[in-house]
Amino acid sequence: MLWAGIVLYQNAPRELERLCAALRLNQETPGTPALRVVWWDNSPTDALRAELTRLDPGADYRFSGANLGFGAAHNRVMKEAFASPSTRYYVCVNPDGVPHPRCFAELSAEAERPGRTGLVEALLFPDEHPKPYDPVTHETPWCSGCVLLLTRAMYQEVGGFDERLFMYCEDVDLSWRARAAGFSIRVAPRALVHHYTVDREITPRREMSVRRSAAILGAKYGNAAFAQERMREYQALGGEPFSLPVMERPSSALARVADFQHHFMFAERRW
Amino acid sequence: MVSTLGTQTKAEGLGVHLRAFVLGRVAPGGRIAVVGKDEGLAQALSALGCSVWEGDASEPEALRRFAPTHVVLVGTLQSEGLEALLGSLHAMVPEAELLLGFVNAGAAGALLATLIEGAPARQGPSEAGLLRALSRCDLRVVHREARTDSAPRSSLAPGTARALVQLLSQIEPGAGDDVLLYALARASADDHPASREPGLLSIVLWNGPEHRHLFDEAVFSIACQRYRPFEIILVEPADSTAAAEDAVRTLETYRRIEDFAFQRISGPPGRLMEEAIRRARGQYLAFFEASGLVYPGHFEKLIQALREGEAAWAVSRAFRRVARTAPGGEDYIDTKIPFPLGDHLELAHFREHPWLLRVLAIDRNRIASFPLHMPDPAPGQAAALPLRLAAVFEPLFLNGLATCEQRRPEAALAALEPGTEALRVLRALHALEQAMARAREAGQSTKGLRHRALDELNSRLRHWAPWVHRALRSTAARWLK
Repeated sequence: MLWAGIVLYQNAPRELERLCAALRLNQETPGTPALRVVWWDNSPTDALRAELTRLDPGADYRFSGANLGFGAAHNRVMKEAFASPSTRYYVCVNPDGVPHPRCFAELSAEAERPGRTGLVEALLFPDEHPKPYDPVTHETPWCSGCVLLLTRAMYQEVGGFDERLFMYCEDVDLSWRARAAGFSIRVAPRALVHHYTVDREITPRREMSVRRSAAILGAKYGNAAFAQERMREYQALGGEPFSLPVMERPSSALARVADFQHHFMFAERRW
Repeated sequence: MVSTLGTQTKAEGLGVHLRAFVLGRVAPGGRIAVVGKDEGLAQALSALGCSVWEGDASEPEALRRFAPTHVVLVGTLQSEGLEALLGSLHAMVPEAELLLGFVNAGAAGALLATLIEGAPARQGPSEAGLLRALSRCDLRVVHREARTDSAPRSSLAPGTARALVQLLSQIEPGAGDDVLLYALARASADDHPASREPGLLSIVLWNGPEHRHLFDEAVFSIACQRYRPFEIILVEPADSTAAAEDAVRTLETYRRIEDFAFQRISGPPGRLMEEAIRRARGQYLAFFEASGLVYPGHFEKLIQALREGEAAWAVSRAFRRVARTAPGGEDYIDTKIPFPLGDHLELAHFREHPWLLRVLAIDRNRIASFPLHMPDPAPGQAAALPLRLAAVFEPLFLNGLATCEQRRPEAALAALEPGTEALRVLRALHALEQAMARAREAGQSTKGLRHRALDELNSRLRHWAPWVHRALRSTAARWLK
């Protein structure tokens, strides 16, 4: 059994319509594991309930009542998913992505490849993310959370997302923790998800959110320079003051995989 | 002495041309109705062994009884009433072929004579006027011939006059023809060009055998792009690998994610693209192929730019993928290179990157009768359409991020369609001078040369020794921090 968790926040009806259609196509595709979809709504109201019921009368909709953030919301669904012994994988699905009809089949096929699989990400389409991956092993420095498969073994050993990261960078952090614990984290080059953010409007809110998370990430991995620089940027954008967590001393395994040399890319870019 | 067409002399010339045209179309034993008076023609037809009826359109019963195989309209045609005349003749004897000729009032040479020399404007229809009339009275052209009057008609230098005529002919193909001869027959529903739908984008999608395995992803990218409404006109040359149901199934699949209309055109290669263009219903027209991918804002940005400006077409920047085949069979992308580079779109870019045909959008409401004809793609050949468009309509270049992607290398050298070299270019002097200055600067710039040499070295290294390339790149990235 594969659980798909989708965290909502005031999404456009058209977005949900596309995603529901894409999920149905995936469910009809041979090779897709049995799929259970849970919609977790972080919106201020439960207005999306009616929309989802219209699109999928049997939709498993959970209204949060508060905006927990991306990682915390997924952690709740993930906990429930892995509480069931039949769940092999949990997949985070961004509601603004459109998984290719073979996306889930290819994700699980990649996860089944030999090795101690921890995370498998779908390839962003049509403009692939420029971070590198090994063309043979498919291993990559970190996995994007857009459509991200987590294995039971990794969840049990490493846990879910760090809830201090409200949104952004939680995927980088989970990837580094998984790698440090010896898990293989990979791209599934044939599992496509249509997701494109390059031409999205740059909003101060989003920019602040990225920097806030990046600053916390820097502190967590003991990179004071990175953390302070991101904090300065966050404040320059008018971000509400907050206290950075105490600068941690990461384990040697974590220190080995963490990469702050490539700014927000967290890896060397291919182009 | 200036020769003015539309005079008695030209009308007589028309009679001679029409007679020869008619005699070339009919066969012995044919039943020819001559509407109007032309004794010479009637005699020649009789001599050929045809039965001839002479009369006019006011004798419908007699004409019907004669049951002609051909109806010849003789005399000078008038614009006014032409559509009614053709319509009534066609209604009387719908199976007969209609033959007619006229002096083209829209001929560029005659228009120049009127403009420059004050010659009287030609009476009668222009070709554009006739074609519009045909589409309204259910007739189609089965054969067309043209005669050109090469006599100088104005005091313009012949070279200038020729250039002006050619320029107008690039916009309206019949502008160089003085006498036009037509054979017309009943049209079928398929003969009419599709009616134009405001705001609709027609994407002509070529799915050639070499890229069929890429088709699914191309359609996925098109389905998820943001511009609405759009239709896909799938063009597939028939061959042993073509499975009609595969492509249609793919289109049907993605219609479940985003609804769009589609049509499929298939058959032996030759005129498939022409047919696709004829069937396209959109105000906006774009060409794409299975080897490409569109990013979500591609068509939206092109069309928004057209709406906000005055250009007839717009061109975006694209990425060219540099990839190798991974052991799993999928592409591993080493890098993506944007093209065209720079802030300006130059005519030369259309030669260097024939794939630019796939990154444009045309507003068909702004190109009048400009011929959009295009041959079916063939190896080593590049469509001249972008250059032909650029010659008379300055394109709008979206000088920003690449909004689409070419997944396969372009052919090293692609030959353009014949006749492209002789195109005339309508461009402001300052724009030409600026383009020349940029070219000169690029040629003289040591920096440019150095960059080109480095680019070349970079590409070769990436191709032949990717591990060395990666190591050098890493080192350079560390230094540059």
